[in-house]
Amino acid sequence: MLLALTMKEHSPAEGARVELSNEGLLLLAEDRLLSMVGGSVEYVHLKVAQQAKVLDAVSELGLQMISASVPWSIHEVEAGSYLFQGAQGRYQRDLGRFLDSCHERGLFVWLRIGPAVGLELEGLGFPRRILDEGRFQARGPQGEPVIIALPPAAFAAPSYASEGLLAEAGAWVRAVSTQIASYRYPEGPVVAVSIDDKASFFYRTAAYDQDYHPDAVEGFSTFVKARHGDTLPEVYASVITPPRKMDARSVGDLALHLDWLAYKEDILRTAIAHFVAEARAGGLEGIPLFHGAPHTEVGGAIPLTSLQQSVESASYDLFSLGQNLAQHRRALRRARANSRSTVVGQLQWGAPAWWAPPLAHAQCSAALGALMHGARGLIFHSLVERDRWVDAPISCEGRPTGVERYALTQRLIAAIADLEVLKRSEKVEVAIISEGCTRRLSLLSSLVGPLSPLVLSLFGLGANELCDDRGLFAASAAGRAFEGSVEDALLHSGLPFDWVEGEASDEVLGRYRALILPCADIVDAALWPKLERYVRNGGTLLLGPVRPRWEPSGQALDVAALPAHELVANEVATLRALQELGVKAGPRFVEAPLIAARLRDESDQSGLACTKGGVLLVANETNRAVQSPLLGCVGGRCRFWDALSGTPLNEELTLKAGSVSLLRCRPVGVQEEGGSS
Amino acid sequence: MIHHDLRFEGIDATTLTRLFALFDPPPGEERPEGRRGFLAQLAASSTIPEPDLPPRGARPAVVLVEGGAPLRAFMPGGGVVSTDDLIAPLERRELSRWRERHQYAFVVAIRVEVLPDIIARMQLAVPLGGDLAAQALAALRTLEPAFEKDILVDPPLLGRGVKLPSVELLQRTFDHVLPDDRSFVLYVLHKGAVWASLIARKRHGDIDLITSHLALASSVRVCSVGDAARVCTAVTRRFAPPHIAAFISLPSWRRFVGGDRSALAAALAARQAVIDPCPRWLLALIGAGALTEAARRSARLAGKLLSSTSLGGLFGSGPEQWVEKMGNPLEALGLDPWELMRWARGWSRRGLPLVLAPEFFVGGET
Repeated sequence: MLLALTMKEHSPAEGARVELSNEGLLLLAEDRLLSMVGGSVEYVHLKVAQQAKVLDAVSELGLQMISASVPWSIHEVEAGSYLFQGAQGRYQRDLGRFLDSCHERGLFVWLRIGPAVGLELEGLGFPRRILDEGRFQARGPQGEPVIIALPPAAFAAPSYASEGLLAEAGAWVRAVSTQIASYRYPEGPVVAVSIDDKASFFYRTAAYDQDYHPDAVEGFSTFVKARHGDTLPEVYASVITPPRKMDARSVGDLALHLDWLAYKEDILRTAIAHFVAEARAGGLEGIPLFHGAPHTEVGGAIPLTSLQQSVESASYDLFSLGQNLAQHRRALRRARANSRSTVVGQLQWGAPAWWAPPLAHAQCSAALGALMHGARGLIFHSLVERDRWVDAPISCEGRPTGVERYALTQRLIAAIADLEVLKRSEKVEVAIISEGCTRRLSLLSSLVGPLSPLVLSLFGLGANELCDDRGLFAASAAGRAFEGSVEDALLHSGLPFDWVEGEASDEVLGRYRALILPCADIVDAALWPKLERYVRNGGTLLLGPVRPRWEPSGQALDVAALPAHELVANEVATLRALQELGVKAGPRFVEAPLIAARLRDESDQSGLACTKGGVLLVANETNRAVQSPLLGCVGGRCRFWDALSGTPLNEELTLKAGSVSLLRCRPVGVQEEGGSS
Repeated sequence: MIHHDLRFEGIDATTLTRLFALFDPPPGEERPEGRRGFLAQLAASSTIPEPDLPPRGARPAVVLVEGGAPLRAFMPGGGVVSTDDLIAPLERRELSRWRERHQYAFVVAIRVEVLPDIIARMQLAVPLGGDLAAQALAALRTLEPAFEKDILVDPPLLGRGVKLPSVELLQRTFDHVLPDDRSFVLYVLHKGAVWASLIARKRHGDIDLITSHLALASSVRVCSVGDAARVCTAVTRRFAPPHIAAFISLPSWRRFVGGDRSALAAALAARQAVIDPCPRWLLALIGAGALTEAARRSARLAGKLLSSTSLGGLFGSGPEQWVEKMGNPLEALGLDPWELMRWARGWSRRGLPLVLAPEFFVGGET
């Protein structure tokens, strides 16, 4: 029914073969919806004789989609010359044979073509000749190469501002795109392609860490002139040159630093757009292009909205050193607001051999947490064991590697399908605006200089730990504190909410009844016209803890010109304003019932209820076990089961620290069901 | 030392977790219990003093320092912590006191003003295209002048006066410990099965493969140290002939790591361990005949990683040539093996909470 409606209302673009939808990919040739649940199977790491067995094992898990990386460094023979047959040492190159094998089995393929692919390869898949070439290397503030200390060997980060690098990488993207164009659906199995991997200056997102490549320094001047036109801020009175450390003494001085971070976002946006253009020119028309970004608690390298100017969909990949459900929740709630697909293109499943040893049940909780907060697809990374990757569920011979991981994977995949979890969603009426200047100010205020906030966030460090809260940054810190209080208050009230990027379109902003804008003294001027239109169309704007005072250029803001808003000084006033608006706390449902409940603490006795035939995803983000009463169905008596284990639950649910459970409930009298495996 | 295309295969999460935790035995299991008479006395007399160990699972803290005064302190994963009881100017003694009071695993204090320069120096020093060990050594070397001045680590990361060796010396020592085209094999056994294992192969000066018993699971089943010869045959056939192959029971290993220098010798005597092949220097080090000498030497060097013997004076005059001549190749690096073990145990305890899940530290058995 849902599929029929979708297809009836939808008019595919000319030449389209596959399109994005809310629940997956629309395969236009056969009017079919493909669920985006799959796992990575890396042909470069599998001997030809192993590939068939592995793909059969993937099919037996109930999956219809796999992802696979096509590493530049493995396929390049010499500069500009690539081979897609045979092998290079222990790495396989025969992409065509692999894709044919997938097609024969009815498996659809999401390819990751780089230039960066990760895959625990030296240089993340960049050829050594590129990494070692000085003119392609990113530069630190003192002109030094930027070293990425990732095993098996540290390497110098390539510069995405280098025109030479973009030309080389673009040639690779075009060549590989030409190679796989004939394997696109429906003639072949390829239904989606990822362009590059985790655009974030190779995980080094600090403000003054890079990129001072000569092309970047020159580009900054051009960028500033284009951004400000004839009215250059005073700070540029003498010369336009990138800042190399935080030396601003006034709000006016900050203009230079804010421009620098905006420019760095533009470097990434331009590079991805270049690769996308090359991919399209190489023949990858008609199928959606994706990008998986890393999520970080401080700043962020580039908004998803900016990436989606070139790729069809950008979302977050999820990796962690330990269990961090709160970080994942924030990532998904940003993604579900701003991404066109909210697919977790890489959900860590196992770990690199030099990473923290993974715990299967903790990663299962991460997967359930992603679904709880709006994921519309999951790609398990990695599904098949390989060199430098530990604890994938399927061996190279196509057999289960171990009881726990394989069984969990099997049950999870079955539960997602049986319970139609991907079709269930919360109704979200409130969003916090993640505004560009606020994000950039948090990066600028980092106390740890060039140390990457993105890497540090893996160790549980965020703005509270890393950002300055004095002087010029006091207002920014107050804005963050306000945002944190509002987040906590909304979570405690059970009111679903998102984080929407300030760069988002009118259409995206217009989905929400109320928007909350935490202000940091300076707000991006481009936001005001959008908010003006939002309010004019009936939206409610809450602004706090104080009104902003400055434009990013350092000019005083005309407060009278702000869109109509209610000033809320704290979280209490925010909740009160939402209540007056009629936005009620508690779960609401759209097409199918889903309760996403977050237990507060050990004394949480508010209980869990469900609608008939519903599904509950319950999270315990605390570091202690939590118990909660099971109250039964809304309007009747129900029984609950743990959907993965099939274990019936009586009157109480006990959740281990940092875990998520998927429960199903049935009205009393309906035949009891077991687990989903 | 580490091949740029290093290969890992046949390692699962359980093995990896146990390897991570190899040097941090659960409380109580590292004691030389069960011994009677002379062996017990010998064990007690030769046991290395307990390192300054924090509680299991304790987290570290980082203190950001500006103008000599604490600016912000936090625990990775544990949020901001108060610095009200840290007295400026921040010196080691004060930092130690603070760490002990709050039972932090370790504390790092960093002067934020110098961080950009330190990072820039490190990046300039790292040899591109080099192997990871050489790169790490080069980066650490640039940090040396900053320790005690701009970066305080408490307890100190290295012993007082310890100098990092040159890459050449480290490589030469490594070549002596494990020659090319040979493998290193360690099996830790418990209750009739392999508890953890590590097999590493070296070629052209580099470790190029790391694997475990799982890679051999289909060809050789291991129940006890009596299966050592069959394992070595399989390793030879599949990877490279072992140069060192140690098979040891888990309790013996834990006593050994816990500081009982006689644990290996006792285990060998009781057939709870087999080390075959075993280079002469290793045999001498762990053998009963060498125990007294090892204990005497260790006592002399206690508290330091750098040998305080005349070996320390060798560094300026071609230490590479001394490597082959020495009974124990680690001496060329100025390292006392027992002290090294103590160091590894202490920093395993301190570092593991950063990478392992909290539940790992609950219970005890991994």
